[in-house]
Amino acid sequence: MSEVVRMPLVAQYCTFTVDGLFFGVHVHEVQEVLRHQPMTPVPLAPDAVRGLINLRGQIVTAIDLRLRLGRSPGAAAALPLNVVVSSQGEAVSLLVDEIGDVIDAGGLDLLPPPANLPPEIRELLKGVVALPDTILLVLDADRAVDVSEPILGGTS
Amino acid sequence: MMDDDAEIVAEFLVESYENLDQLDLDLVALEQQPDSRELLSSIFRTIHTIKGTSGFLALHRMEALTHVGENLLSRLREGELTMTAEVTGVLLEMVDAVRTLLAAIEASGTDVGGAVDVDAVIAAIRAVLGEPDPVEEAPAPAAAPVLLSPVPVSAPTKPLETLLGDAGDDEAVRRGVADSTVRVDVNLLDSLVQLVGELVLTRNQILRRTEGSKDLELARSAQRLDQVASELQEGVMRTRMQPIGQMWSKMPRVVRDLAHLLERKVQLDLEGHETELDRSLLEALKGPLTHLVRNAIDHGIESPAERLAAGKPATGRLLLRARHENGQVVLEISDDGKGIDPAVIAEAALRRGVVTRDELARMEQRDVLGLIFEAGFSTAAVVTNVSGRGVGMDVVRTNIERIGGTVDVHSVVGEGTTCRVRIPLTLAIIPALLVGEGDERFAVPQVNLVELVRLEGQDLERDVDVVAGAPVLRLRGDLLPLVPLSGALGLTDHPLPRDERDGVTVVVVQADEVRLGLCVNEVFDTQEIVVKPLGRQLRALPMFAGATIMGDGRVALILDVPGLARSQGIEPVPVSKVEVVTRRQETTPMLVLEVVPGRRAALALHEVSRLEEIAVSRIEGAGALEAVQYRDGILPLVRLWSLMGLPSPAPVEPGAPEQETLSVVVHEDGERRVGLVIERVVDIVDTVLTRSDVGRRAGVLGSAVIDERVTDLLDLDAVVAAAGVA
Repeated sequence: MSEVVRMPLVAQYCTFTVDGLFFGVHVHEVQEVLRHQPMTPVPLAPDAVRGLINLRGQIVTAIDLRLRLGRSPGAAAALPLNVVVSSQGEAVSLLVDEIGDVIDAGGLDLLPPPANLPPEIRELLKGVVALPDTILLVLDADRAVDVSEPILGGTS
Repeated sequence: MMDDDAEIVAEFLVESYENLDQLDLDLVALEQQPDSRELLSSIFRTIHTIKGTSGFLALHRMEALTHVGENLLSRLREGELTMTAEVTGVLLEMVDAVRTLLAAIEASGTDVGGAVDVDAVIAAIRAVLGEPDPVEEAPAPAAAPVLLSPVPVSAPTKPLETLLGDAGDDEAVRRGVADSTVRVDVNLLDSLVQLVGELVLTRNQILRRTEGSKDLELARSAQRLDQVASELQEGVMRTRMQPIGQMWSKMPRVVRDLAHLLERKVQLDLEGHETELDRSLLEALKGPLTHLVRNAIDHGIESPAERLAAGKPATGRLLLRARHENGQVVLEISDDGKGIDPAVIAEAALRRGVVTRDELARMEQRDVLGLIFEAGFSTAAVVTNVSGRGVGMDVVRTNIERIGGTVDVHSVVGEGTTCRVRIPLTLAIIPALLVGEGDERFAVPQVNLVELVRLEGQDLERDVDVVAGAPVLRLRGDLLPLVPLSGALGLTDHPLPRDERDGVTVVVVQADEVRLGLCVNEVFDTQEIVVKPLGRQLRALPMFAGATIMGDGRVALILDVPGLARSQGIEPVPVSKVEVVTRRQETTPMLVLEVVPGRRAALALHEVSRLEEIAVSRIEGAGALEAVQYRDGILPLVRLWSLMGLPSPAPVEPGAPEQETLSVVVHEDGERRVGLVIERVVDIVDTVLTRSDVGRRAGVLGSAVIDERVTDLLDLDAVVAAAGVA
């Protein structure tokens, strides 16, 4: 059960895209990546909660990152993928559009998010990494799964 | 009674041996850190426990020994004495003496005799304490506890080992009490329970897959898996179960001390020692139960003089009773004391501002009694050491509700009071009714289930009223608030399907003092479900108690009935009223049977002539028309599963080892005679039969909630028709 040896100097990110944005989560926060799973919607849940999935007998809440980031909802027919992260001892799934490679950004600094990013995105970032060809948005998984907004009356 | 005592002694031995091992370690550690208050307190507690129990069990030598030991420890703890090698020496000597005495108790049931010179050890401790005269002082508790349930002063009539199984004569081979049980980490048990939960789910999935399969080998293996998984589940659950006797055994002492303190005479009777309960629940119940017992003695049972004046025997009676009932554990604490006067309660509640005069005027007597569970309530004129501070009953209720239980009180002035606590048997795996709404299924815990009602056409028109937007159902003279599940969950916003062709299925549920009718689209069957918690994103939703995984691997939400009611603003209805309604109805004895494993059905007992086991070899005919020669005639047989459209219970093929006998329910009515082939008879239940059309289909009249399960009611006419009998 113990965690794999972590090398603090090597910053490995599991990457994925959401609505065309390029995100990464620290690999040690990622439990696993799954293809689309059938989901059971939870009535009256916060909007960003898309439903519950059965992860080998464990019930995991799936959070729609598009909605969480204030982006437009994905196409109805789209089958989002699951990036299961472990946050405060609980497994939570982040629904993303596409999965990318695991990249090593060792040696590159984690920069503060540019000030002109939309606040809904900026709030959920640990920072950004300026890769040679693109900018990696490093997601703060704990904050991303915290949907403790006041619970609304309905989802319709 | 003797068996109970022997059990207590056995438990005392196990506990004490363990304590002593720890004690040795503690004492040695204490020598290294002589001023460790923590170690001293721990040692003190251990010795104190042994002393207390041996006093209760009338083990007087043990009691005397631990009594002086305790004195020494208390002096050490107060700092009046310091640890020296000499002190440690006598303490260890005492521990050894205690151990020897325990061995003697284990062998003979008493602490009389034995190879140890207890007096010498006592003298040594006294010397350290500087107490000069060992002869004079007799420890106080020698006065026998007079009015308790019988205390074993003499040795148990059976030697202990006969109670401990097949112990041989060989001393060396005989297993001691401490060896016959194993202590297991609760976390390990919990993870086993979890794993078994997974297994049960996987089993459900496999069973589903094999249902339509032609592969007989697979089907058979699946059935075996089914059986093993069920037994394993039961076994693992049982490892978490402990008899309530454990808690009962502590009560005589509590009662004795209290009776003494309050100058009451109390006879304590305990029933249902063997009733088992999940250990975590047992733990959680200790506090509330002790509190209820205290209350019964303090507020219930009068002083001997008052009792005599009221024409009652001077000695009051306190009865603690435990039993299983409908998948719940019911604990009753009854006294024959002065009872609770609703007027006094009402007065006190007004004075303390728990209710307003207006509210009170609208309350029924039963509800008034319920006020004792409100926060800040107390009737005690004087705050005693025991009760009267106005915290207590509300805490009792909170603690019991926390583990999913309920508590209520009945009382007759001058005759006594009974508090009844109900708690679910286990929390992890529960039976639940699955209902469908939209594309989703939801689980309704069976403990909440009262009955099912199907309303169509004219009935719907006649029985459902919408008052100021709130739909209510006229149900046997009562008005039941209706909650359409889809509306409550925000799926749709119209209150009821007013389209009369649709009809409505109402699941009547009850929790605490709330009763309501849940309108659902569809009702499926009852299943054992594994309760899983929801993630923290969803814990604020009051209407869900958790989630579970269905046989097809999908997740279904478990409805929390009290939460759902609260979210709909449904106020508690007095239970008394609800109960009166139920009680007035007549009960019908029903034969409950299994059609195929796990699938129940019922028919009225008066329609059953006999139950038979019929050898398969006697069956004549084939296919749909089978019969046996029976009592000078022919008894046509109907395989019930086939009639009801259920899959065959076991693959039957030529050459396969078939069951040798079949369970048959024989129905005879004049010329009409038919045998129903079933899996097995489950039970005969006296039940208030409220038939509902839900589940009506070939061979099934409808359903009723029997034993808290939705059970198909057999359509005998259809059965008879199927048998081809005129």
